[in-house]
Amino acid sequence: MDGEVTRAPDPEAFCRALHPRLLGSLTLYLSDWSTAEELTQETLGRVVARWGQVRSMEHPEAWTYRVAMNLATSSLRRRQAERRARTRLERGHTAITDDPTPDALAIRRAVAALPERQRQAVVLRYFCDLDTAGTAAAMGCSEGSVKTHLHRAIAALRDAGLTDEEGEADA
Amino acid sequence: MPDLRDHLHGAVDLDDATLDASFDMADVRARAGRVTARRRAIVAGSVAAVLLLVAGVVAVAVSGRDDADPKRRKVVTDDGTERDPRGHWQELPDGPLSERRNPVMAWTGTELLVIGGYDASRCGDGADCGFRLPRFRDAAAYDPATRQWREIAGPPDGIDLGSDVVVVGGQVYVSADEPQANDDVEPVMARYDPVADQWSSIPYEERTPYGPDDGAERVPRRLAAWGDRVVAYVGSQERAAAREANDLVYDPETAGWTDLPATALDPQFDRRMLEVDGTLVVIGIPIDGPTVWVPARLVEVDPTTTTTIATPEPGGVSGGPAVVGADGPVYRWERLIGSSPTVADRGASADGLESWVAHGTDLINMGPKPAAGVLDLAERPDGPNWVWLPDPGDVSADGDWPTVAVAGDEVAVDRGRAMELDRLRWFAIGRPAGAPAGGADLAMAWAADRLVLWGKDRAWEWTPPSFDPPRAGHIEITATGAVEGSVESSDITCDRDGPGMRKDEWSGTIGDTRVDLLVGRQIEGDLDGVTLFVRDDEGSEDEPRYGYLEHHVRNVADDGTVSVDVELTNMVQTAGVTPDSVHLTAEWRCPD
Repeated sequence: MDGEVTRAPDPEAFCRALHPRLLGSLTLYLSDWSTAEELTQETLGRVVARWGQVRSMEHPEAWTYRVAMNLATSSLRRRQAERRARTRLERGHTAITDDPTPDALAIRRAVAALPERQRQAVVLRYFCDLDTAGTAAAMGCSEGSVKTHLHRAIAALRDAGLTDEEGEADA
Repeated sequence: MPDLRDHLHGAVDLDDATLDASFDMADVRARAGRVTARRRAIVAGSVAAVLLLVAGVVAVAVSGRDDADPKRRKVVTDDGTERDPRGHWQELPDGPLSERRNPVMAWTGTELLVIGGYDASRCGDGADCGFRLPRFRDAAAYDPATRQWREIAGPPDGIDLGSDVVVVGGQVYVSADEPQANDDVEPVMARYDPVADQWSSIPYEERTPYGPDDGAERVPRRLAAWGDRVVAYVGSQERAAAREANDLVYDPETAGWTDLPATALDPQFDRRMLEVDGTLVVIGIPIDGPTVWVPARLVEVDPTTTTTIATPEPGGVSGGPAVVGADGPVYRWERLIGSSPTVADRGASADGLESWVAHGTDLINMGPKPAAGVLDLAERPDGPNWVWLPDPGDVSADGDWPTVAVAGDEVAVDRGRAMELDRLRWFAIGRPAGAPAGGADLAMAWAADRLVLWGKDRAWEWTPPSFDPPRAGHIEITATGAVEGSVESSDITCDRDGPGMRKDEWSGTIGDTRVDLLVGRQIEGDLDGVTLFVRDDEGSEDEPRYGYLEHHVRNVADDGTVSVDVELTNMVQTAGVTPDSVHLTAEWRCPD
């Protein structure tokens, strides 16, 4: 499976290795750095809580992305995460901020304009570098569904001038 | 042109310093601990099913008279005087149960059951403990006719009760879990038979079992009574598995489950189902869309056949009806007109969860502040649409209350404020002396005509005040502050007219704008109060219309005089004027 994090011997190493792409994918998916950071921590918390099962999974990173997407698509949990993220910011726990360039903002907006499942597919496939099987595992659907979502998403992004790809050519 | 990967990675270009600062393994481990505790506790949602209270205002003690009728039993106040118990809290006799939090409470028609709960002795008062709380498995029943408690069978070790409880056909049904050997749980519906004093569990027959262990939160089933059946529905359809899960109907007569027709609404979260005038109504917030509640009701298409009708009728939601029972009638969902008059309509942010009650043909949204409304299902086909409810204003919540309403026949209570359901008027109910300060330590349920509050190891009951028309009297109104205008007074006729009694007109000017107010006196039990209305632009000179403005309730003084000093600052909403601040003082008294 593409994009696989080297199987880590302990949860901290696994979390540390996955953290950059997890945070980046949620930032892309949510268009909100603070909430993405909060949900990244929450996702990794669940990884550690279930480490005994996670470490024996065939594709632990796909499972982790699935948890992240579940959390991110939960309206209630997303609102809770937003509140916690605000609290963290207000308390000064987070000294860093996301400061995207205008080009980066344009890309994020184009991604944000995609329907939920298409957005998930694009982020998992092209940012997290999961292959089609891994993307399907993370989305909880079939590979065929992934290809359909990607086909439509890429068509929309092509219209937005973000790609000249024709579809799921490199799957 | 760069490929899509380059674009996406360029859009989230996080440097090492940013990533290092963002990654916090100690925080990750702390969250892991909370996840583990939450999984094991299975306490989620139980708080939402009970009502919580804080500090006490009215010091009341039960007199020694053993009279089962609360309307005849007198209570003795702190100053030793006897008073009518209506509108006051009275403590119940000591029961057999020890101190506990969040017991399941259910009224069987003759007894109030208090079941299980959690040992929160390691928590601070009212604290929302983050660790697993030990369960109690004992239970007791209180008979208000004899004012006596008795012990009853509690849930066995294999059944962990949840929070939703309904009573159908004399049987008590509770959402529950059965712990499994692999540390997982199997959701079931628990049943308590009060006559046999026995517990049993009823497994769900799910077409698509949900709750795969993929790290997402499990979506518990919630329960609703629907005539002589029990509905076990999915509380949120946020996860794909939950969207595919079927809402279920349990028929005690056949001891079998059938599918509730799929709503064909967009997936919703915070779903609630409740029975309104015999009709099952579902309310939820679309996952993809504005935060408004979308209600739909289940309508009977054909009471005699089980033939599925494929074509939805105009006005119905998309998708056809489904058969509820093997030999039962055919139903389909019908979307109701209008969405909740909450955040979207008022442009205000909500202060918490919403709560719903049914009264007659009304579906009443009691909160959160500042929005609430009523949807009269009887208004079809010309409606219905939501009608505003008055803002509770300064009707005191008297501390921290829960966010789920409980409704009796006459009164519903939500967040410490009560509403007279017939006239949709808010009023304060105070709180019993000695009630725990922590709201989490309290639970509440209606038992026939009284509200019973459980607090640690004590309990109190409250009966609604009399809503009889008040006596005749006299009212005098004095305007003070930044107001110039006439002051009028007249005799009170005490006729009912709309929400509250419209009694007396007061006219004044604010700048160049004339303001007409109606002042209505209300008497609720031995509470006296005043309601103010401001004339709006929609009426005529002959038939002026008045909008609700302020509502104050104050105890009547010893000499029968009631005084209020109201700061009118929100007149712009109804009168189209913008006063800086207007103080209106009203005094009146009624003859004995």
